[in-house]
Amino acid sequence: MPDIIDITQVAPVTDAQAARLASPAVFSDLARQITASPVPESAPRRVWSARHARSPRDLWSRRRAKQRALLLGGPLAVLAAVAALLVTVLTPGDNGPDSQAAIQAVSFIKDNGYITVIIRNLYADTAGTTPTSPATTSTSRCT
Amino acid sequence: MRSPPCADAAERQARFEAVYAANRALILGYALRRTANPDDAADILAETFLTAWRKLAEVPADDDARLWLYGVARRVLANYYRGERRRSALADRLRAELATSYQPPEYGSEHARIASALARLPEEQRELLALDAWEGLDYGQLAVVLGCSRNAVRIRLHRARARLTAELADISHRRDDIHA
Repeated sequence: MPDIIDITQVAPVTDAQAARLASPAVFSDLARQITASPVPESAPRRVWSARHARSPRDLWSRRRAKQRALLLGGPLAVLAAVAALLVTVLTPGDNGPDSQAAIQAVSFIKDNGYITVIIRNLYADTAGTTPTSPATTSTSRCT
Repeated sequence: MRSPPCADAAERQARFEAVYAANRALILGYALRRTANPDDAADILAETFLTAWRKLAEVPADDDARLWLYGVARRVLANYYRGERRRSALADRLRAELATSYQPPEYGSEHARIASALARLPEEQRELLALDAWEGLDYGQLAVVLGCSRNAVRIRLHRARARLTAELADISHRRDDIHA
C-alpha cells in the first residue's frame, strides 16, 4: 500500500472560498440568463439516476445476465453435442452386413437343411467396391 | 429514485434554481481546482448549468444532483482539454468578477513538489485522486461519477496513489541530484 499523500493541501481553492469569489448578484444573473435560454424540444429521455445508467448496480446486473446465459447455454450446447454423437453412432451406415455392397459380395441359398454360402468376392469391400474375382461356394449343414 | 416532474415553467424554474443554489459554489470550486483559470472556470460553470437547465428532467433529486453535475462538468472540462474552448456570453459578468477576486495560490516548496507530481499523472488518475481528495467523494460516489464499479474505483485509486508516490520520489531524487 503506497503512502497516502494528502493532495488537499494543493487544492487551489476550497468550495467555501469559491462561494465567496462571486457575489450573489452575479450568480443570480447567470441563473437568470440560463433560464432565459430556450429548452430544445426532444424526445423524453430516461431519467438519470445514480442507481441506473452505468452505475455499479447496472454493471452487476449485466454481469449476472451474462452468467445466467452461460448457465443455460452451456448445458444446452453439451446436450446438442451428445445428441449429434448418438445420431452418428446409431444410424446404420452403407458398409454394414445388410448394405448393398455386402449383399452383392455374399449370398445364401437354403436347400434341404443346408445353407449354401456363395462368396462372390473374397476381397469384397462392403464399403461399395465391385466384385473382382470369381465366386466361391461353401455349404454347411443347418441344425 | 425519480426526479420531480417539471409540469410547468414556474415549477421547472424553481427546481433549477434550487439545484443551482445548492451546487453553484461546488461546481465553481471544481472548475477552479482543475483549471486554475477564472475565465475557463466561469465558462465551465455556465456550460454545466446550461446543460442542467436543458436536461432538467434527467437531474436527480437530493445529493445525487451534485454527482450528476460533477459528471457533466467533467465532460465539459474534457472538451476544454481537447481545445474546444469558447467563451460563453452567459458567463461574462462572472468572468469579470472572478478575474479580480480569484488569486492563484502560491505554494511552498513541499506543496509545489506535490503539485508537480500530481501534474505528471495521466489525466484519468489525476482526476480520480482529485475527486477523492478535493471533492471528498467516497468509493460509491466515485463509481457513479466515473461510470464504473466500486471495485474498479478501489483498484484505480490504489494504482493512482502508487503512481503519485513514485512520481514524488522521482522528483525528490532529481532534486537531490541537482543539490549534490
